[in-house]
Amino acid sequence: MRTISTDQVRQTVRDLYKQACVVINPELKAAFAKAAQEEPSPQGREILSMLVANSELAQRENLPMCQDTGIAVVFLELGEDVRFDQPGLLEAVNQGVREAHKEQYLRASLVKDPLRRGNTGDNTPAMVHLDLVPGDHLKIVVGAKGTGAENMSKTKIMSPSAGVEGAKQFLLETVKAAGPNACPPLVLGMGSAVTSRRSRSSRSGPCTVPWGRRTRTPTMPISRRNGSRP
Amino acid sequence: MSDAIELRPPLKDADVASLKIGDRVVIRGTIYGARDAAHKKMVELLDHGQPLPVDLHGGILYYVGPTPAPPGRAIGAAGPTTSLRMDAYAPRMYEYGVKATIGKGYRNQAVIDSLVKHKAVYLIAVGGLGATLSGCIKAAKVIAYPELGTEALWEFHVEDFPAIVANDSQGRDAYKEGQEVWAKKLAVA
Repeated sequence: MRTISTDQVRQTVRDLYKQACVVINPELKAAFAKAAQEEPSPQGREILSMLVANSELAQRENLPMCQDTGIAVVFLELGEDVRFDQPGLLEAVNQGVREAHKEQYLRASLVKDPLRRGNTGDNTPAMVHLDLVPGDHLKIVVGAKGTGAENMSKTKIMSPSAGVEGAKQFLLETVKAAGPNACPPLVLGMGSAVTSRRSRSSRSGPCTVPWGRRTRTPTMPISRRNGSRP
Repeated sequence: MSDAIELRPPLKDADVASLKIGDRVVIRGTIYGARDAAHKKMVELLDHGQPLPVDLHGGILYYVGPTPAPPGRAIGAAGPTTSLRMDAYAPRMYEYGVKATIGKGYRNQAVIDSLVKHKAVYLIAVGGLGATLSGCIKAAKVIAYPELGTEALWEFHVEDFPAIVANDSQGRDAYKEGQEVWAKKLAVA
């Protein structure tokens, strides 16, 4: 058994969420720069260069890169041999989000109810995905999920005959429909599972896989030319 | 952007009529920020024959929900939001007299038709330039609906705010035509 401090979870979530909004991931920056060279359209190249400059400016001025500082998506990979020194793991995650929101001047983007609305005021609750795994470690991944991207999400129940080709076709259709509505370039995360609910909450989420690396069980060749935040 | 066309609101029909898709513009002066929630409230006022919180005739509406201003800044990150959120309200705002909106992404056919009917334009700012566009906003204040937080109605004083004409008052669509052009070029290559 290993004991982890609940308060350390709060601090870690806070620091990661602030970082996700302000500091560009180096792999992502490299992907931007590469795309800025390979993109055939001059206007596309110009815009990609502007996005690189924007990320540099954001870091220099300690400003979020984007006004949509997202919904805090927190993946917890929790070893079965871990216990916490204090109760309240989920509250620690939410407190971390709350503190990041205040200290980094992030946007309050969540409403209490999709129909009745009413902003929660501090960007909580976080969307927490918990996976129990063997071991005595806790891995925390925090993503700032922009709602412009979330709006373009699609779920499809496919018949077995659709196969890999059907999945590819669905992916291309989804990208085309999203077009310029979400901010380019985009990270495409595709999850598949037995139930629709499970497909969207698979371990750590496909969008958290580092650039240029494959998920554990890739069935499709992955060609990542472009990418942005999950 | 030395080739950019300067827009200083309030805009007249003539300012808008000459703009065509792909034109680059820079905006100088006062524009107003509003998203879904503020639009809903404004359209309700118009439907009841009541005045808007501010005169938007000839005005430019920027679809944005900024991050709060850190100390020493006019505003936080302030890039465009996805315009389809406002498609339900935009025709009514153009009918009222708004001359331009700024956002990102596609508009639906009803919005495109209303641009022709009411001589107006839809402009796009580059999605993702939250920090960069923040620097173009020199002053910001909430003028109505403070209870909506970031979704309030904002007044911004902007300098050299860059945008591109995506849908013009002739009914043309930069996204549609651009995709057609590039589909051909890439097919040839």
